[in-house]
Amino acid sequence: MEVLSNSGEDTLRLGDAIGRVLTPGDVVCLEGELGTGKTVVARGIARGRGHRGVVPSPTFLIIHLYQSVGFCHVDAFRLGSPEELIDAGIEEYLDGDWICAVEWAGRVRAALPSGALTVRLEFAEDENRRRITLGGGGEWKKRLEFVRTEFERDAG
Amino acid sequence: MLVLGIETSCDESAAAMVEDGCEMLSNVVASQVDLHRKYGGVVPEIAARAHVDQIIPVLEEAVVGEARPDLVAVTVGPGLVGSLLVGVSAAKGLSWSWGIPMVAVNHVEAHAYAPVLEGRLPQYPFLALVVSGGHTLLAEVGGLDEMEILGQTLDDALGEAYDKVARHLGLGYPGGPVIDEIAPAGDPAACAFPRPMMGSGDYNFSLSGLKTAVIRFMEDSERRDAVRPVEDIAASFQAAALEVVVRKTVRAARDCGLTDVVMGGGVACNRALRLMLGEACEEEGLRLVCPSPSLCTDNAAMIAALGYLRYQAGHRAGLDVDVYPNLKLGGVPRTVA
Repeated sequence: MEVLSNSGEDTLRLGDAIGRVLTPGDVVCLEGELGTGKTVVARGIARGRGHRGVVPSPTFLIIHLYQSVGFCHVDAFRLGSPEELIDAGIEEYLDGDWICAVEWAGRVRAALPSGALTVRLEFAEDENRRRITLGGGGEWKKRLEFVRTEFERDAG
Repeated sequence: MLVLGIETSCDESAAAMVEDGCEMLSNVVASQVDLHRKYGGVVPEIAARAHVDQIIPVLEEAVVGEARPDLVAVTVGPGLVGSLLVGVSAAKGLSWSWGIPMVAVNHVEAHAYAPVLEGRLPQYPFLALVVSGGHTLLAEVGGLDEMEILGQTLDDALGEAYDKVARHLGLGYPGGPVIDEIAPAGDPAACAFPRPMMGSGDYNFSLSGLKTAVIRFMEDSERRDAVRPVEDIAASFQAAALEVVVRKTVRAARDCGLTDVVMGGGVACNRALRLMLGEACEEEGLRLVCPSPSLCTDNAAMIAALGYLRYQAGHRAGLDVDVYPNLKLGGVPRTVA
């Protein structure tokens, strides 16, 4: 499924809608170049889960936890291999109790479950526009339809 | 009282001996920057492994002669879990084998106390600006363990933005010093980059959008075959990023009635930032204290300095003290026993 985001606010809303269809144990892989909005999607997911505070970039600490909403925000930007993500302690948060969103997931894909949802962001023609592709296994189909409906409805 | 400080929260293994919380007898830092340079950033597993290799030599160099410390102070967070564990384990070992007390220190808070090592810590309350690869925040320091956040980054840290922009410009790692080095040769008005959050009415920062603007500008100019000299882009990025930091710092001090400003953290070494903030503070009648560069970057002397103050206030850490990768300001338990 593909959607177009016209702004950071749009991307945030998409993340929010994704956050509302996730259940504990789900993993979202966020892919895209620097500046495409991976952190914004993760911030939206946190918001969709009910988090109301700041969601800064986890680049430095690799794993940020939002305990009260069971959200684990990961950034593999500085990692070189899946083993490094395991060393950073990711397995504790893949045990079914947490929702994980992993930026630069391609660098550490083997450390993540195969049934994950992938969200890929690309720059589009206009400065603020992004092409966002969402995909996963068959079980995501229904949920992604809900995400699209929510996203398009909120766009008015 | 002789205090041994130990710091391993990120990419520096460091140890220092400090007398009575202010007089540095040694300050040893084994930097891993060369190791990380080829990876374009700090790679955590490498960081932890290098800390294991470096911690003993660093401690041997710091603890000179026969004098044994009376106290060991160690960073327990925030930082990378594997790296923190190396320093905390070393501290526990020394505390136990030498039979000396141990005290836990918050790395970010310690940056605000670095001036004490040069006899320049202002009276409470003062404003602290901590800018580094992992942190960007303004806090009012009302007293020991009374550090209240006034504003912080909503996305990227200042040093992180420098690193990511430098990487995109093909300038390598660490990005801060490289951009600071070449920016004076460029025109800071060459590219009209945004000043994010300038008018937000609070003291928060947002640097991610600026990073994106730089990346998009470069791609756009490549497409139009109108590529700007890298010095111009670096200078324009730096001007935009620092203007927001400086203006918000001055505004926070003014609004909160604080006349003393302490700046610390690795990005506090940035010459343009020191100059701009110095001028802005002078205009505003504020006193700016910025430690020497070697005390702005991660070091263990500041850990010993704050550890001494916390010990005097009755804080102790037991041998079961944990590490706290996501530690918040004021998050270090008062007494862990």
